[in-house]
Amino acid sequence: MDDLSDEDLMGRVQNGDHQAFAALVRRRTQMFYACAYRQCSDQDMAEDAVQDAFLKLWSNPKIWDRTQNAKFTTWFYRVVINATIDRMRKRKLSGGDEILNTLPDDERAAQDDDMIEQQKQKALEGAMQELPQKQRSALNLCFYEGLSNKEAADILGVGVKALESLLMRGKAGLKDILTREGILEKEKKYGS
Amino acid sequence: MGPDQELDRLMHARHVPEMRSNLAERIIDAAQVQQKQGRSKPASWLLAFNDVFMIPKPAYVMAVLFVIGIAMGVNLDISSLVGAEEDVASAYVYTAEGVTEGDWL
Repeated sequence: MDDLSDEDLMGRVQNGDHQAFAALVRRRTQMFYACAYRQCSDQDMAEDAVQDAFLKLWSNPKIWDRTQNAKFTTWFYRVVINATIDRMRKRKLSGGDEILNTLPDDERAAQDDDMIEQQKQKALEGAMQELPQKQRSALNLCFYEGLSNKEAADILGVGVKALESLLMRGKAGLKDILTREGILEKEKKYGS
Repeated sequence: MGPDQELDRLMHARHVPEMRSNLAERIIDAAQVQQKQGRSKPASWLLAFNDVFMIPKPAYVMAVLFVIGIAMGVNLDISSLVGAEEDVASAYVYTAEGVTEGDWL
């Protein structure tokens, strides 16, 4: 199974091959978990969202159309992001815990320098959560997942120009929030 | 370091914690369970259909029927039954009276 491509495995999954499904899950879980985590900043929620996405695929594998989607992973990003957004929405509706204080305890007890860096990272996670959903997804897909603007635009269902705008606004938003919180220095203005 | 460079550095250093559980195996197991449940759907449908006709607690059902029987019996208009009996009896008497000796012979 290891030498088969994701698309070949998906073809087998569509014929009910559980071994192929298992191979696909083992190969891609870490990658999609990272994507889901960057979306929601919550370990449990990210894990549940990835599970939701894979189980949806298993229960209805025909939702992947090989003729329309060149790459399985590009298509599955959308499923994972939607599953994560659903989970976040449910958490919000049920008035669940805030999802930002999720750094593990052992990381909280680090040394001073690490502590400062962790505070900055925590602030970054918080700032990410303050961004509108689409800006956050655009940053995640292009900056972290390394997708091209075209691929990310397809996943988010927007045009390339709109995606570029989302990226620009997302980064500007992060900068504003982190500057406001004192994590980033205010930009010095030169001239009159 | 300017704010843009610092932001880039922070974004590059963004950390994703390890998964808490063996997520891949959890998903694979859950898919297997889902498959089994899917397969047993016709059987579970038959069981549900059968349950519709099952009497869940026979003792209670008997007790309720007994009470309903008593209530119906108490509320029944006995005079109507008596009247009906009289009608039958009188019909018999009238018929007997109407029979003459000649009819027998």
